[in-house]
Amino acid sequence: MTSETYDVTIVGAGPSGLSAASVLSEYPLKILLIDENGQTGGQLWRKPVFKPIKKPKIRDRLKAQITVGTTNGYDGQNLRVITPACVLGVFPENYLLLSTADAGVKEIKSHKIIFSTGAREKVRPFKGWTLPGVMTTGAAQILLKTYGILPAPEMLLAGGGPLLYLFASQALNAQGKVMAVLDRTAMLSVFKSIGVIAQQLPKLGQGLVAMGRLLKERVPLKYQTQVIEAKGKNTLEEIIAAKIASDGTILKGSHKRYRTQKLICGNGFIPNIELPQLAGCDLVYDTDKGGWIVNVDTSMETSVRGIFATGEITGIGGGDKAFIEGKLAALSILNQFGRLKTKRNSRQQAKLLKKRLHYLNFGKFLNRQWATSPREWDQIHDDTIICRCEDITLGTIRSWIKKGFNVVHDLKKATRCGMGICQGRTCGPMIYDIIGSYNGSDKHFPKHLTVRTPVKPVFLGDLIK
Amino acid sequence: MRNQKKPNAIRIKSAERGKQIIFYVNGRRTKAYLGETIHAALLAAGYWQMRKSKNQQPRGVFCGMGVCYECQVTVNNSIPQQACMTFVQEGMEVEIDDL
Repeated sequence: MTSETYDVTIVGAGPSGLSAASVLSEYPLKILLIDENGQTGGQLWRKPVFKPIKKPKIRDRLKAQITVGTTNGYDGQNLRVITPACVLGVFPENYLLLSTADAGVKEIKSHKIIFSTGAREKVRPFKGWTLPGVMTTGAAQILLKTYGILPAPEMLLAGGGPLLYLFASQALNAQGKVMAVLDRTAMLSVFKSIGVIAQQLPKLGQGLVAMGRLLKERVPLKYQTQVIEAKGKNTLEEIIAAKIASDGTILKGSHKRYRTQKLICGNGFIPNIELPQLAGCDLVYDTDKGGWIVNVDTSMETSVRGIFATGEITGIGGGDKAFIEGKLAALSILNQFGRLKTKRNSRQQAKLLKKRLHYLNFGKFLNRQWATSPREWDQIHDDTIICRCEDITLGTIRSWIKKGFNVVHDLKKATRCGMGICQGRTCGPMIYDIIGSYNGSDKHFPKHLTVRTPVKPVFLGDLIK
Repeated sequence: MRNQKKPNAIRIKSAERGKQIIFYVNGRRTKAYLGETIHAALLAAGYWQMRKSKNQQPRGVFCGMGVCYECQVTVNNSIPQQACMTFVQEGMEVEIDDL
């Protein structure tokens, strides 16, 4: 196994990681930038594998500020990019175990580490959500934007906006049909959101354009409507949706059937905090920030000296927040290395922190919309699968909670929920919600489920090599 | 078996793609383009069910980004891989469990 040393290692090459790399690479430091995907950009800046015949008109003003090359290899004197590479484990004094595609497993020693591991999509589960034909908004967007493939000729969209509306308009632009958009939030929220989003004009413009397209095509937009069942033999054939009150009560007699073979659904995002947790960084459970997040100070440093966290993992807040935090972490690191005068750093830091607050507020608004109340959880059917990897239903989980297993770690041991191959990434956030509902509060959570090396499944043969 | 009546995922027309290649799905010749992942090529060819869960329930693409592990397929008679994180190659043999 080879061993390498770097001044800074950036784990995750999305907007946050790339932003940090752009700032740091201006200085004579040895920097490593890695991502588990085969290319940089994270989820937000995925590159299409095809060449669009019509060039996209919108210029991403954040992406335009990235100064580093984004291909695998060496960028100038200072920066090395390795993709795909997966961090399997983090060990004391900033050692990383890195699994690479062509160079096997490497041991990386880094003086400073920035975790910018982003987020994954959250779904509000319902009976039958595991049927092929039901996929997340992220999955649909990746198929369309990265691979130029429309998931189906006609799609039903459901969940909590705004990504839903964005994808709907993207699908229409690609000659797809949108059967309807079933938004679980109230129409009033859409107007409220305009007030919050108005602080970020580019987003407001984007939102209005998307809405305009949907209205032009007369796509039915339903509010306070939640999918409660997906039916089909081996793949999706029909969806049942019902009206949902603001406290989460499903209104009787409001059920409606939609004959569709493709449901695109999404209800928020979950921070990927597994690696910082493994590294010993303190986490905090904050529903306004998306659940379990990494606790950082204004310099983006975690509770572990020399380890920084940026982007969605410090609070769901979108690409702009991620970009700013990448910059903040880079400036803090430069300051710590003595490369930046403290006074100049403080001035820049103050400006960026002010902007960051705007995006945190935006995130707070959205995270509240994406919350599932205890009342709503009460009405989700017993047959609903919660742990997809191990096929464990909500009914099973409820019965164990009633037996007294109402602490996350105990529930995991009793049910096997969270022990499957996805390592609790899909069911984990739901379990906290369910237990929180049962206990009547989320303030009694002990810790996040324990994370151990390897953080992602790896073949024994690769480790031994 | 592939459901002949199911609408496929559609490759959009306004795109210049990589080289067209042939790979095999349960032995059947299937078209794809270099640069595509197995999951994209399977969906475009009308294959939606990729495997069965622990209790033999049908599963397919869910998260599309390597998190959920629902899209595992067997590649070249060897190890199971996430279809959404693996790129198609000429002559690749993919086995899906969709009976």
